[in-house]
Amino acid sequence: MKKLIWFLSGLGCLVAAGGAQASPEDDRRSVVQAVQEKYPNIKVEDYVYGALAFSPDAKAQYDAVMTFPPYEAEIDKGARMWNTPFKSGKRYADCFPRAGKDVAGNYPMFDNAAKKVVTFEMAINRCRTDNGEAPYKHSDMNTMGLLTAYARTLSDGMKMNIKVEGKDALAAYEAGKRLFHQRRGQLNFSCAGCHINYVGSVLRTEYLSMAPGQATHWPAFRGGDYTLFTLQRRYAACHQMVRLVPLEIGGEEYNNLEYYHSYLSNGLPLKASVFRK
Amino acid sequence: MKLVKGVARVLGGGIVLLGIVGSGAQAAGDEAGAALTPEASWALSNAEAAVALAQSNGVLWTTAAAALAQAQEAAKKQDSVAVIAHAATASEQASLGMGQLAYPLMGRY
Repeated sequence: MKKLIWFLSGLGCLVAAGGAQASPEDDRRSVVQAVQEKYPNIKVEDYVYGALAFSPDAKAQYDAVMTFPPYEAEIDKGARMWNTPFKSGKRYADCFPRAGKDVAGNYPMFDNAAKKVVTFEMAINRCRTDNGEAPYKHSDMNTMGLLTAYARTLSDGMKMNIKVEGKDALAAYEAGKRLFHQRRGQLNFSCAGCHINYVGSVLRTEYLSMAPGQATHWPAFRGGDYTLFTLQRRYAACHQMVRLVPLEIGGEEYNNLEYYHSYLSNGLPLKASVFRK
Repeated sequence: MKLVKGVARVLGGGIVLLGIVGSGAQAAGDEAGAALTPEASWALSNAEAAVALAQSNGVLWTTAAAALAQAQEAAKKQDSVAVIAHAATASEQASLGMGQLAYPLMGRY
């Protein structure tokens, strides 16, 4: 009998320890389920449209804009940058598998040697420095912004495929998760509060989009003047709106946030350089 | 005894006079750009440390940063009263930002 009690209590400890930290896949399923419970009529594959999924009118306007995107000349600038050879004679396409096609969905990835998250922008800068060029600032929309506005379109249709393998990768993922779920700024908001708890509610005049799917469509051209926003620039703008001094675009905190945030979109197709209000 | 009382009266009067003149001089000094009071200097350095701590933890409110900037601007004008007021706001809001780190996390996770 004593042995049975010891066995059961040991089993209980194991179960408790296992439940203490959910796996990334458990996290993703749980967040998707939270949205599904609230909006059972919205298909998961439509989460990539974000707030547009709540408004057929807004979606119709989006479709009209996307027929002939007024910002196409900006993407062409990025294409020219992508195709211009470095001083070394090589091009960006030489730095990536499949010449850069269907790669962006693998980023952010965790570099076990460097023990840090590597974003697509960091990989582009690595390509530049390996070829004797100066790195771009991640926050510079006229260089990194335009370049990724084209480079990410090469992965349109690819399904997000973020991997969290090993304890260092998991630590970075957990750091990003914490930032996503933690209240910040004078308005005391968290990313999760708006995009999980209050998803679909109207804040001022806009629907709050769902967290899964959000990472699939960047950079985006936003508003009436089609201002270019990378995902991390959007993080900074969100933080500014809740009255938090934004963190560094391209810094470790936002990279970890992007790692967690992108994982939530795993399995959903990418579509870069879209229009958003 | 009379001598003692007389000295005491003179000294007392002198101290009162010095107090009056001194406070007037202080007020004039504040207006004319004299040094910050020790309280204002302390409040400013305290606010700078609190804001730096919040910033290093990624929890600095824009309003705290703005209040510190106002305190630093007031310090340039040697306005001790304004420095103390803005520095107090900056310190309080920086510590409120730090406090958010201990809040429970939101949403499913």
